[in-house]
Amino acid sequence: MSNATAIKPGTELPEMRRRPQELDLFLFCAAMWVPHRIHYDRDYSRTEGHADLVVNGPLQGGYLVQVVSNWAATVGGRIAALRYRNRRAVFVGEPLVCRGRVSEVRDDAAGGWRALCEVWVERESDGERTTVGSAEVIPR
Amino acid sequence: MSGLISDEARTWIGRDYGSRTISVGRNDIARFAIAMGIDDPVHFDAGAARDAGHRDVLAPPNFVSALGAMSQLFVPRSQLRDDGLVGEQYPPLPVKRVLVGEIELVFHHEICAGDEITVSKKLVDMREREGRDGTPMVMIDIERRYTDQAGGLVAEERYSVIVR
Repeated sequence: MSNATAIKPGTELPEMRRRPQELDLFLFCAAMWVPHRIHYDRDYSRTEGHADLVVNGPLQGGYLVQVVSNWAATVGGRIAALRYRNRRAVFVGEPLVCRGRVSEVRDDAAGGWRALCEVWVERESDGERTTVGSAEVIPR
Repeated sequence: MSGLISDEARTWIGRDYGSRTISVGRNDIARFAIAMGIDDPVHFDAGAARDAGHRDVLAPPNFVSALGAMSQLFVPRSQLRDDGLVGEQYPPLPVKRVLVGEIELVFHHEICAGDEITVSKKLVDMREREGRDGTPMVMIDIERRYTDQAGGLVAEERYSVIVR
């Protein structure tokens, strides 16, 4: 269960589909305490040059944490680190697919292991990767 | 290089922005879990959390991002600008646009309700770079450290801010 031999590079992490709506942006801004108007004031958002309400970058980072954590729990692990970059703006209502793939598994001398995963959020409509990054999973 | 970083701006490298201590409540965690769309009772119910081996209601790993935002934006209304943000303190640079680059989160220990987390922030580095289109820009690396009531390091966050 919790050993590295069960984890193979190339393993796909179960994907997670999300379509953040106005309600999700409200909840996230409220919980995070983010008063930036580009996330809830459409008219204002346009004055900053955006096509619509902007989906928070850290919300997409949070989706990636979930993808990794959900998979990690099935191999007796937990997420130890996440690196990500929001490379394209995502607007409210756009369907997203959050994915990951194991890129490398390292054993350490103490009998532990560390799985490195490539992770990304892609826009369902055109497959464009809006957020890209990597994560590390270690034994729980 | 085009010398965007003046000697005065350079003195900002290593600048300590100070720290702020935030009490983590069960409701803060529950709200965050709801916002993330997570249903696991360990984020809502202390009994369920304890049964699963946690000290109290468990925060999702990226709850540290909320603590980071709060450490900066949880200010009196009079300090919020018209766009809803607080004016960031940046070195004196020819700024037209500020973008956030890569964000790195390292999770050392879990955060539970009842914890007192101190968020400290530092400007660790600043360097000049050329953008893809050849435009000079400045990358500023910021580091936030999250320590608990016992002084233990629970999480680290590094992000770069691109000023162009």
